[in-house]
Amino acid sequence: MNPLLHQICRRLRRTPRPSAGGTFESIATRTAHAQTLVRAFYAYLLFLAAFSIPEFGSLAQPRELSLLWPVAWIDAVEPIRGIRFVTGFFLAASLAGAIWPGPRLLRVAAFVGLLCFVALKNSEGKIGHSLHLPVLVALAFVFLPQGWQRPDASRLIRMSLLQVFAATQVLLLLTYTMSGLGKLGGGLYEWFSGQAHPFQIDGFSRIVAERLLQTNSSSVLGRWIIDHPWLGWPLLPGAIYLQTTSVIAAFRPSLHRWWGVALIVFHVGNAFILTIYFPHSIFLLGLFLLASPFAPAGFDARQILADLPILSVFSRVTSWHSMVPVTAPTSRNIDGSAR
Amino acid sequence: MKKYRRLQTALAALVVGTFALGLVSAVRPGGEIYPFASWFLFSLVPQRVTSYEIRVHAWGEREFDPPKPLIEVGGLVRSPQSSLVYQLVQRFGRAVESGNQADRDNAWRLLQATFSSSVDLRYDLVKLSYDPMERARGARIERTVLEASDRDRKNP
Repeated sequence: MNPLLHQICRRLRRTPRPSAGGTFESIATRTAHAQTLVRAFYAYLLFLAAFSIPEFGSLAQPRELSLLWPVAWIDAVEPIRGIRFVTGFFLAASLAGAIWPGPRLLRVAAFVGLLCFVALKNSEGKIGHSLHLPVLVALAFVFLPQGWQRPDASRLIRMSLLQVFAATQVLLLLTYTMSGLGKLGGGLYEWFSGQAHPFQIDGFSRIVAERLLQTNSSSVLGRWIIDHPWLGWPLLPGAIYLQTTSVIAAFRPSLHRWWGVALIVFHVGNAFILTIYFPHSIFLLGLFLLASPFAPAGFDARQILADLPILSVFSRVTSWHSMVPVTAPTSRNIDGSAR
Repeated sequence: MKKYRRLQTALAALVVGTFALGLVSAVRPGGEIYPFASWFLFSLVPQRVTSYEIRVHAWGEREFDPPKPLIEVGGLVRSPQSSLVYQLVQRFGRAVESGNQADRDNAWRLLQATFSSSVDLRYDLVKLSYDPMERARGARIERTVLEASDRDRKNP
């Protein structure tokens, strides 16, 4: 591995790698696990295409569009025919990808089909983000090595498959980190410039109120958050911590399932409070984090606490206190005198 | 092994590229470099909000007195509670206020594409100024009519 990349990964991972004993066995198990998950992703892509069939008709209606770059060529041909081609290609490519996810050409086709379909859906004057994660995952899976799906794949191919899978987890969680950094940066700017900010009691309530006013909608918990700002107050700083540190959690397998659960709860909360729905992200979090092939089998609370980004400092302070009586009498200078 | 190293470099480039292009998307005047978003969603807490609203006086044979906000006219907009309609009304309002005819026409055509029919519409474009918490609790809001229309606005 590139020394700089190795250094970054080691720092983010913090916990030492598992000992050499059993490594080969765990690579085989994890590879089989990852192979199933990759296949599940392509089956999901086909589900997404099939689920969108009722939309194909309305997408192909003659209307004004602000076409994004992957579908900008539609303007040059007869638009309705171009849109029908995009939807048909997406369906065919995702069907082929679900049946034969092995050949790279078909995975590229599935990625291009999805990229164009999502671009088309977002060409109405505003870009929504609920389908961006599947596009990024499909892009990352283009890099899967040849023969990744074979049960008798060589060790190099297995390692490459696991590397692509791990990078996809990083990519997925990076998007949450970027969202968290935006909120953190924006919030600090607002705080220091004397404006309403996310860390004040009614910070989150203001966001909820404005969102519901913009869409003239009501949500299950929105009114309650607006009427009781102090009850909603911890949610926004909590979400900022969860999102900002997400990419670190990608490097710490003990956190995979917990970050998966927390981010899914975050999306479910957004649905109930802000009427914002990201069901595709929930599915991908389930696939890549809840079912992560790298997550340890058991539950080790101490390991989880030690791996928590930033907050692990508390667990280290606790363990330092418990270590002091043990280490102090055995700590000696070279000449044997007590330090 | 060389292949493996090349793969690692490509994956690192993908992750770094996604981050970098996302940041560029945040500051680029043309908007997002799809599919690399900045993901800066709800990154600012609303202060005193200035926004635009289309208030409908009449839609075809149906008259509204007092005029109704566009998204409250049943059946007019296909997905009234999607933020798409809100964003397009804001684009339209900004273009009208700044006198940019090309942007205004473009925003109106995109907005019109969300209508369920092309029946004539009579409306006012209104500029609002409010505190979201106060407005949500029913306080009065400041309204300024930017443009009163009593003619067909299909092609402004």
